Amino acid sequence: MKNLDNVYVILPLFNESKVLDKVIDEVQSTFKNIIVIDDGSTDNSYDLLLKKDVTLIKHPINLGQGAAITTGFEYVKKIENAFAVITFDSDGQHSVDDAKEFAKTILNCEEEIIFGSRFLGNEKNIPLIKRNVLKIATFITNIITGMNLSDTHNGLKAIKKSCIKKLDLDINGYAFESQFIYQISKRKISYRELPANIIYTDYSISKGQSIRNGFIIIEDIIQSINKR
Amino acid sequence: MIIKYILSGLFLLLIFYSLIRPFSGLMPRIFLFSGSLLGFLSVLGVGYTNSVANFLGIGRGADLYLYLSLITIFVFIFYSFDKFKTIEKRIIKISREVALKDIDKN
Repeated sequence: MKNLDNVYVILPLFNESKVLDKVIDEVQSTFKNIIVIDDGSTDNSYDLLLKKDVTLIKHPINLGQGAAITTGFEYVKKIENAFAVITFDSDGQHSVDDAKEFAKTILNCEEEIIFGSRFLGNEKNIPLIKRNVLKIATFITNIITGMNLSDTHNGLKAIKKSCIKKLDLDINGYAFESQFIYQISKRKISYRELPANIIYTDYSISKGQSIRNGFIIIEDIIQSINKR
Repeated sequence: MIIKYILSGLFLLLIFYSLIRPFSGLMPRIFLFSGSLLGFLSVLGVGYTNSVANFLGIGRGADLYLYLSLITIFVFIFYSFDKFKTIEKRIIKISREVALKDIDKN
């Protein structure tokens, strides 16, 4: 019988010493298996993580959030009792209650992946400029990938290990999400969306992507189209 | 006059080098060979490059050099960009393997 112990939470992290204590404690209140990928932090994040009861993977240098998540995937592939993973941002913008709901759903649903969407719930929480930028990014990504998602750049996801094994991800920067979605579409992997409430704080907004990064995302998407 | 001999010798060496050096593809060989040949012709006399330019439907030899320079710059930029991406992917692969071998399970 599968339960939450078969779900692993992947937390990619880069210089989050200000919030990581709180975030990890919150995640640990629900999940037993937490994999933290320290993506070459230069603050004292790694030292703080050593005191936590988590599986800690440290990149020797900063490789990008996409690379950190992929490292987590590679690790989970080898864990026998792992049934699924939850990807969870380490800046405190995701809700553990949502992650728990995702975990319960992925354990029982037929779909191989659950995408979080901030537009299925209370989208008024989202700052106006960010809301519009996200909608444009979602529109473009849906056109390019042939998917029909309401939020293509949400870090909260639940993914079955069977799905991870089908993917071949190599974009490490901003366009990781787009390549991920593109491969889900190309491989005809079943999916569904669930509401994911984003907790916007000054800190999480400051850590977010700038609008200019959109150009790099588009450039990377075009490159990823060539990759099957 | 000495510079003419030096440059001619240099371009001839480059032509020879483009023929014997092992390349990963045909394009770099063609680029180096044609560039060196045009360089050699331009040292011999502008009239020769003008003849080549006329043959290709371009007015002057100087214009031919301008177009070829632009093409070379863009090819170089894209080649370098591609090369950087490849190197980046290799670094990531190595870093990931190191990280996964050195997992700290508390």
